Amino acid sequence: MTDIDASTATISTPPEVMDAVMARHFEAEAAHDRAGILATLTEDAEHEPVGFPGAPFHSHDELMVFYEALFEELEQLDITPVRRLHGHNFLVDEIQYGGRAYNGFMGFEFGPEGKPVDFRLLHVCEFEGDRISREQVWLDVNAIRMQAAVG
Amino acid sequence: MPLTPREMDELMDRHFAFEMADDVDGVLTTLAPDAEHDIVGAPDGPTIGLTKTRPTYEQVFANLAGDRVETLHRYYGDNTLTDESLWIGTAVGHPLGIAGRNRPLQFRILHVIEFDDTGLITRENVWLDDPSIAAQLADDSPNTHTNEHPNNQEGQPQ
Repeated sequence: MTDIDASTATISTPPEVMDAVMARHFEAEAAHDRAGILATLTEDAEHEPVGFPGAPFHSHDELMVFYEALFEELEQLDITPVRRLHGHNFLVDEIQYGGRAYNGFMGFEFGPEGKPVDFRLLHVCEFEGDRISREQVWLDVNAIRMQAAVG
Repeated sequence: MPLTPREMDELMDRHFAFEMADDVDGVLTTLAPDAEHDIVGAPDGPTIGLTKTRPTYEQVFANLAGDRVETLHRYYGDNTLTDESLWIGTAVGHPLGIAGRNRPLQFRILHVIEFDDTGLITRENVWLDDPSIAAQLADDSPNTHTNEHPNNQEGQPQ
């Protein structure tokens, strides 16, 4: 079990630094900027989109395979911040994700031209300095499932 | 005076113990009167207040009989606790609208909890490893899986 305890933490990444890293991370994802994404992660970062086959990923090489597939299946159009909690060297961030999904995303079919999707997305990120050392992502899969089933 | 991590641990563990015992009254004693209860994916959205949250718990317990939770990660902030756990139990109802048929089930679950200074939960935000649940309960029959969430009424379309 990993405990991040404010009373014992010895290294602290300021909230504004975590916010800046997250902003760069989201921007790089939206732009499909592979190098930009990796620049926000430590070399040995654990990256886990919960529920995705093969996750968690533990190297940049593994992560690039995941992102290449993801970029084929999901196009980010708009993200809206909902809530963010900061702690010592971590944050918990909820956003509303708007995009377009294509066949295969989360194992669902979205038709030959894809479909718009809008769902809640939560990141739990740990930081080492100005990079993310653990990124865990939780999705509202039920919302995605229902949107895949529409029309 | 903010809660200490140890105090938040005790409060969270007590909350889970009530859940494992299917003790709705007990769970509700851990929540503030106007607490927001938000199981992500629930078609009706979050509930506010104990009266509206009670049916949610009754439905969850009708679908999922918990044996235990194993804590995987905990993150402590100012009166906030983010807990990732492995839920282990039995699918007794229709989790995610899928017939459970009393099959064993385990899945990861994330709680993002906010407390007031007295230790009552003011917001409980819950995320499920939905694909894991769906995979474990996958069935050959096409009629056993609907797009419903565990806190729906069983078999009631939305």
